[in-house]
Amino acid sequence: MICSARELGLGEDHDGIIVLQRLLGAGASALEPGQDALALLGLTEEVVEVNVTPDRGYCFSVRGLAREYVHGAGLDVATAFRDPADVEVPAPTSGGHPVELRDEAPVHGAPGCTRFVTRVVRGVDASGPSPYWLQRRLQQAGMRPISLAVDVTNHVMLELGQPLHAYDLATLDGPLVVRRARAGERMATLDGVVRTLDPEDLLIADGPAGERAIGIAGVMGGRETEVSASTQDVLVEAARFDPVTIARSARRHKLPSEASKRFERGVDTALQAAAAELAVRLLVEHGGGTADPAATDVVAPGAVLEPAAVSLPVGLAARLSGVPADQLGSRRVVELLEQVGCRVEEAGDDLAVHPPTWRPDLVQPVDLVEEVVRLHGYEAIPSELPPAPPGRGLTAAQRARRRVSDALAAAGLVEVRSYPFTSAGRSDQLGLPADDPRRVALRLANPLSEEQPLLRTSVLATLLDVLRRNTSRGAADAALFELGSVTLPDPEVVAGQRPAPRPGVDHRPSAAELEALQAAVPHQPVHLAGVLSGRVEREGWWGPGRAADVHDAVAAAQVVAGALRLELELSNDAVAPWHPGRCARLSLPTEDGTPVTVGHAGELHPAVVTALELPARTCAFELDLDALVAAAPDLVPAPRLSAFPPSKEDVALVVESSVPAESVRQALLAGAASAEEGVGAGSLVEEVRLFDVYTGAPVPEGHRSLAFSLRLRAQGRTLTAADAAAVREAAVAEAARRHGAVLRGA
Amino acid sequence: MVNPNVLRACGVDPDRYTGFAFGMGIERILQIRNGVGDMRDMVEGDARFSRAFGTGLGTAL
Repeated sequence: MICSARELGLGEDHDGIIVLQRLLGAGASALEPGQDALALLGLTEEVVEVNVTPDRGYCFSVRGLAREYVHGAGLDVATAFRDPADVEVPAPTSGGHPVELRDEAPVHGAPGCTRFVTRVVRGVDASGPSPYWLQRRLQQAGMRPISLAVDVTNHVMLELGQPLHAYDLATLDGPLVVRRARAGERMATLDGVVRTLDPEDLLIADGPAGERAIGIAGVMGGRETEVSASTQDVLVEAARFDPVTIARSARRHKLPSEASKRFERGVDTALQAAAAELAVRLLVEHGGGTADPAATDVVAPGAVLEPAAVSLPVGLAARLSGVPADQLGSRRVVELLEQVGCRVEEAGDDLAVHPPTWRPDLVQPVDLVEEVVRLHGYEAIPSELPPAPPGRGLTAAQRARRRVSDALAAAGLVEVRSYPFTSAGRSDQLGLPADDPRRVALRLANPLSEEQPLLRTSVLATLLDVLRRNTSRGAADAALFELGSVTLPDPEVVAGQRPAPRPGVDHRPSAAELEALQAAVPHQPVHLAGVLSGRVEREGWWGPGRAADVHDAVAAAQVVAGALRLELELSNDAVAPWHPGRCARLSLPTEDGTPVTVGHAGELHPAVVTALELPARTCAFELDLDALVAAAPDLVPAPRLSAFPPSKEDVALVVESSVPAESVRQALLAGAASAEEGVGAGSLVEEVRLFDVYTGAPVPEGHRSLAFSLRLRAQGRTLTAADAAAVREAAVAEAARRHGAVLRGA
Repeated sequence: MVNPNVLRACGVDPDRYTGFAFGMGIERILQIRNGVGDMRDMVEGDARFSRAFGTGLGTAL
């Protein structure tokens, strides 16, 4: 098919080409070939999209937006605004379709339906397409044209904000009954789904004793009574339902419809008859047929259609907003409230304000103050910059974290951020064992993406995505780090054994509820992770470049510790996602002698690199920054400096290749310290440093030679050769005892 | 204007205290202030973006 409406993206019609005579009716006779079709088809019209805040239900209509436009343009409502609901409406009669309002169980004490209007149009062709202009308007408002009956009800809803429903009169059996559902009751809604109803749901029903449910009031109509091709007579319903009832039903059945969106924000209590009249007129005009003279208009007994008057002290607007009182005198306040649609009577120092029927949100004096100040102009509120109170800068922990960031940045790493969302699949890609505690992650109730419903338990889990993004954008060398919180929930909470409490919204949570909520909040420490790939030193006139390796990851972690005046202890470890032979455990010494692990650094496991499509031999580290910050000394003890010359001793030790150099170094330090006790006078060892590693003859197979330099110095005297030799021997002896080290050449 | 009911629920006397709430996202402020072309640049972690605000050493490590 060429040039059908669907192919041009103008609508759903795919039955043939667009025939202008049919589309435009009489207007088509004046057309000539060659004329611009865009304007003709209504495609050049601008559409303004308005984001309506939930407190302004009346703005879900052209009527309400027009009123707001008048305010915004600084015009007078009385002259600039014409109310589209201002139409002549037939007086309610007794001969219309009977309606019964029953509500045995009101929610919040409010009747489910306050007003119900029905009108009937007979002999109407309501199932055919509506006129093109009407279809275009619905499309511009983001709705899909369906049939004349449905389009007309939607059009009036968009115009006035009053949702309507059209029934096929022939399918209705007896009076329409508005009642609550019975427990276990079921019905098929318009979308073809059979739903089990809740006793709080408000229903439209018919049949003997109102037994048959034909719609969930204000949410969605039923299948059995919808307008179809065989429909001849249409019944139009315009009702006003309780916002709380509709909001709960829409959420319960997950049916946020255009109707429920308006009802739950509060529909104008005076609009029903006018809306039904406008719909009847459109049906008669475009579908033929005649309107019944009878009109049913039922108001629930005891229902209050006029909003209650609010007593507003004249000076309150000025007092609460800070706008000078001489700008918001009694006359000005009354004038502004009348623009909003209120009726105002002066009663002594107070104003008795009667809000309009479309503003159910105006119930307290402060609500009126908001409107007065909004229309008067926020720019009239004087502003004063509050003085910054002294002594309230960053906390010690914040300063420490910034110091860490600055140190890493100065070391050449770049700080980045990643989204903290991840998936169970990522734990597999990282090669975490099945019982790894990092697999216990908090699942979000409403994740941004269904593919990433979990909160990360390590920063590395999401930082690696950022590394891949950088390398895929051509960064051959990357050195990135991220500070961010990880979420470590209680396994019992995750498993649902100890669910977090869900206090109601109708009261302030009790102290016990607040405590239980707090207890359910997972531990969220700040971690720091870094990744290095490609070269850390680039080639140049000074020589070749150097690729990042394990030691660069360890060195970066040491930069972090150094910025916090801490020293990390290193030992071998085998933890995912690192390569077992190239993974260092990073710990802090504690007072009781057992070091506490604060992180890991190393080269990533090749399987991880493959699974995440990272550059080969990517290195990474992750630290529990909160633990480091907590351990950082508040005050640095000053070193005592000796002015006497140092004594240097070099030792070369042969050990088995499996013994880490750091362990040998620790043994030398410990041995030297024990010797100092004999020599006396405090610490003699200033430094023990590995300066060479050698394998090959004459060092035996499976062994290596580690060469260390020892720097010794005493307070208050020059060390003798005997002192130095004693320390050296004690150090070597300890290395021999712990690791079987043999002095090379000995 | 903070609804007095909210103040009451928080244990604050609405006759003595009033509240005014307003806000603007820090990302939007940065976007306007520094002319950020695409808001996603702030969260995607492209090192070229961070580096412009950083130490400017330009070395890999």
